Amino acid sequence: MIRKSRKQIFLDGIIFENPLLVLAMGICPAVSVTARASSGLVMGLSMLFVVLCSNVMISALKRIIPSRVRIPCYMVIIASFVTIARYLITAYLPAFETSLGVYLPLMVVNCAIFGRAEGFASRNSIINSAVDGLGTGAGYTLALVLMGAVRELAGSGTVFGIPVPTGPVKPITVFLFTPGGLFTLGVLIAIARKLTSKGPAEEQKKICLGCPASAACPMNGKGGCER
Amino acid sequence: MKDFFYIIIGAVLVNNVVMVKGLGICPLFGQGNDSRAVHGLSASVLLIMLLSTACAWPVYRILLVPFGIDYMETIVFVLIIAGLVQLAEILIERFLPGLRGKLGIYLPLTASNCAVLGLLEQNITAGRDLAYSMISALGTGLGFWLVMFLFEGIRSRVDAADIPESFRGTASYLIAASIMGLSFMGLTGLLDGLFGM
Repeated sequence: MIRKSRKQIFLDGIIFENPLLVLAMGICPAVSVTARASSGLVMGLSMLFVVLCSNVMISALKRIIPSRVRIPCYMVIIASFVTIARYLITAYLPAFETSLGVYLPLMVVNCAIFGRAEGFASRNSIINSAVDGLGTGAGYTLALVLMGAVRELAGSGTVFGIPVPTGPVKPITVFLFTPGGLFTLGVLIAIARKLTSKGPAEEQKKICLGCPASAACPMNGKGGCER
Repeated sequence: MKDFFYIIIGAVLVNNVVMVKGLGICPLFGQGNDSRAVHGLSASVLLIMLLSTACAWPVYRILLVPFGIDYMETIVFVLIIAGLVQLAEILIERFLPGLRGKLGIYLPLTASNCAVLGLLEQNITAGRDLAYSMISALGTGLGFWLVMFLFEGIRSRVDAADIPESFRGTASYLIAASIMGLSFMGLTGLLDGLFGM
């Protein structure tokens, strides 16, 4: 494995290995919570918190966790931090608790978090894992805010609740629902792929790395479940 | 009986788990191109949804709520799902070896499926009784199956089409799924029309 500088690890998480736009991981919450830019921001920040804490914890415990039972161990560690994040939001940002709803606890099975645990934190030092967690979380947050801004602008003519003059174009309400989220994400992924020029082959390799089931999956390393 | 169909049709068509709630989208793009994989995975998801609802409902009601530790729900639900997946795998291996190739190999994938955990989080904590939760789990699993099956057909057409390089793969699937989601939105008033509620 080529050793990368910490700056490179951080930038990779944000741009070249952006979990949502380049690796296409963690699609479900991205499609569902980004009807407004502000809820995308809160969701992204809670992801940042969870992936940072779980990366540090898993990296610190990497010699203690037996590799045979590592998947359930990671799940419990991630679920603990997800619970903390969820109750912090309930306490301090109660308005977002309803708009994020079930997608907060669902961070447990988010492959973007799991992929970092399995693919990075389990074999790197604590500080590098923390940097990687920060980069991945920041990349995910930026992608969610971008998606939220596009959908909010197209769907209700505002960004972060501030009205934006759109001229003769009327708001297209369907952008606020799941189909609008799928469409926006599809277009953004295509743009990101054009800019970073990564082919589908690259993406498939990464999907297997991030899949919690990869240890048990018969297709692991054979092109993944894509084939 | 009327209630039964009300819940089932509501969960399959009106509040479809994938197309309306946006849960379990990843397997749409991740599964193999052949319909056997689609049915294997969907059947596993349905099975685990039913089993985990049957286990998680009493655990939540009898253990977590009376002792005031319902904030542990996420951790407990995740462990229940992971344990049941493991158990189902072992049992199929031991007693129904013929099903292994059809069902067994897709079971591990259901442990990381957000539709299963999402169902438990929404269903169990909503305060419904066990029968309602089980019927709702059945409907959600069938809804997942329907979308997986329909989308598998669309996918094979998308793969065969000549589309720009940067839109190939996930991007084009997402846009195809979005168009499919629009048609599911058209079913919104179905329950009122059928049951007059």
